[in-house]
Amino acid sequence: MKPMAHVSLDGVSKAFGFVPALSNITFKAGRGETLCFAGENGAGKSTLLRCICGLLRPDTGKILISDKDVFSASARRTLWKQIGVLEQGASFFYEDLTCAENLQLYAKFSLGENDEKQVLRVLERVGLSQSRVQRFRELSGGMRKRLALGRLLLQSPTVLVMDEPFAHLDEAGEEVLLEMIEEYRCAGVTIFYASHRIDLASRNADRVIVLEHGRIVDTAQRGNISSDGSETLLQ
Amino acid sequence: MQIRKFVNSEFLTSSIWGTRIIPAAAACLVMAALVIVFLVVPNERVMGAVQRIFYFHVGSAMACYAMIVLLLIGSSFYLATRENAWDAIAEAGAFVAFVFASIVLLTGSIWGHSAWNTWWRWEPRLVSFLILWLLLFSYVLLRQFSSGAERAGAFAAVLGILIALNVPVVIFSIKLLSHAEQLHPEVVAQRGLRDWRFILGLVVSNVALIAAALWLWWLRLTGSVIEHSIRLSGLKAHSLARS
Amino acid sequence: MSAEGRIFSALVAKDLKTIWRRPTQIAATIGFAVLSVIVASFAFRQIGYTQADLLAVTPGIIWLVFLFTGVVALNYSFLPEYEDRALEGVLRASGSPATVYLAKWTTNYLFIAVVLLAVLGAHGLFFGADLSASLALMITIALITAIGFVALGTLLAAVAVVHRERELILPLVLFPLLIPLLAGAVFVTRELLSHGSIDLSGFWFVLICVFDIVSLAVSTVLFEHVAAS
Repeated sequence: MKPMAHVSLDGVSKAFGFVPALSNITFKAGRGETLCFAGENGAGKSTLLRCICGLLRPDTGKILISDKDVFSASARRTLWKQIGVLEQGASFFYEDLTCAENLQLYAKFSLGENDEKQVLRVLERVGLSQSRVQRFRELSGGMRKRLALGRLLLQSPTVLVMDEPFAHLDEAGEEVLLEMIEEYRCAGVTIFYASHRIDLASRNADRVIVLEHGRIVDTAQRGNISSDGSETLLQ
Repeated sequence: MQIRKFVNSEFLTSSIWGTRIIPAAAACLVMAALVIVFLVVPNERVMGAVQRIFYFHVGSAMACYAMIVLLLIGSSFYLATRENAWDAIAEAGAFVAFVFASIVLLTGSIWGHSAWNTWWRWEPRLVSFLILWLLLFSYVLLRQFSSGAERAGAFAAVLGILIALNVPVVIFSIKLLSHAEQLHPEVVAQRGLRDWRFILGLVVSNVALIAAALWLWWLRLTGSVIEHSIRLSGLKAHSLARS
Repeated sequence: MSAEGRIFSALVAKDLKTIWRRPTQIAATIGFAVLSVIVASFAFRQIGYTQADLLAVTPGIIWLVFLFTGVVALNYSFLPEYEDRALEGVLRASGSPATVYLAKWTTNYLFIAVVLLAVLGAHGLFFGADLSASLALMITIALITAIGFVALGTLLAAVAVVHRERELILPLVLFPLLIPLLAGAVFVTRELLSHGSIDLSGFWFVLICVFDIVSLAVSTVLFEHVAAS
């Protein structure tokens, strides 16, 4: 029996000006599946992720999550809340607010009562309880990433879209992230992430999709991904 | 989905409407208007020959309003459907409206110079059209500033709707200013056009300039749709190559 | 409290905090307002305008200064939203663009109201036009006019802020749209200064009110389109 597709892309293309960034991307992902996009810089990984989560409207093609168009007006109100996003250039926080205040704000969107306790627990988990009164603008790159992970934890998403989630993170941060991915996977969250860290991908991705010049050139299932690097995959 | 059937490069470049009927009608009507305005209509008693510019002045204003209607329709439907075709319709409408608004100001200036001996006067109707021109100018500018940016279409559509909603406000609020300040002849409302030739000239020149505006709009629309389809065909070629 | 109410109050609190933590920005904006009035005062008073002449140009000066200062304030109010693209994140996570817009409108309105009071105060101090007789009415008119100004300004500042030329774009797209409102405000202010009262059913006052309501309603609907793809 075929698993029900949770996220499906059909013929997605995007060009910036006259430069093609994605062409004719088609695939489906089932509930709870973890997909890793691999490829060189400029292969279109980030563009693809931004399309999936609704940040970037493709020129052609359809993106459905739970059979709903990601760019429909109703999706803006209901679906986008359920998509956790980890962007590379931005983490969607206010620079003048402290770590705790930033998370508090996002907690207000998804949780009702007891959000303060929840925020403290999340800060503890991502290892930022020491710097919870620090302003966001004073944080280092890695700490910003950790705070963004905290935002995801508060959001309880059903789809998770992460662009280079391991970048900037130290080993402890990496552990937190890997733990999170595992938890989300068990909870049936569909996860997409882009990474050139094939060693990490081999640990938790069900499928690795290799992009080159905006096209899918290879797909590898779990088990066929070699843990020592990308050679076998890219051949 | 329906709109794509009409707003695509194939339809726009081959349809008999765009390649034959509208341009031919525009050409014939403009010719007819020229003949009527310069050879048939008698000289106006007070202003003389210069008054003939009135027909093109009013006609351009009508064409401008017609294009603003297209701007409103295109912008609204673009926000609702996010079809690029609607965006192109709105953009072309705004650009042509801007051109005709400029013509209105220019012809108005010329007429004003000979009628009131001044190029510009802070007179209600002039001011209202200047504001209209400024609104369209800001749309054109925003288009230039955000060309290629993400959400450029949505920005422009939002501004387009605001502009179109503002046009009646501008026109009516200025109209209600005290009549002592008005210099514009209340031709139709007060004296009426006595001679049937005046009416003929007015009607023909209005229709002619609206047809001409429609044709320009069609050309502009075709241009931007072709540009878009080149982008997409580049994408298609890219996806076929080496795969 | 409903979900919308919770989101609204959280966002307003966030905005107030952000404004409070950049005190130089408030100070600089108000300083700009005062400075503009002083410059205007130099332009008119120092070259020998009499008290009556000054009263005649007062309505225009007040609203002109307000317009320029308001644009500066609006541009700054959207910078924190843009720096780390927080607005996008908030819109996505809250799922309620109208609430996000109204929250932003509320804080912008408070900010602009303070700016307006500064303009009126500076006007009374430096320009020399006596506003004291009808001060309460004058402030009321100013606050009513500000509704429409902030409604369109909040919407269009969100458009302008993503562009590199944001300081230029906002006034270019905002001012032409505001002309009916501005004309109304100037007419009503002149009426107030010359008669000491205003006609509440007069054309210009009604125009201001209608402009306020329509622009606030339309902007609330349109906001989600400028802030999300």
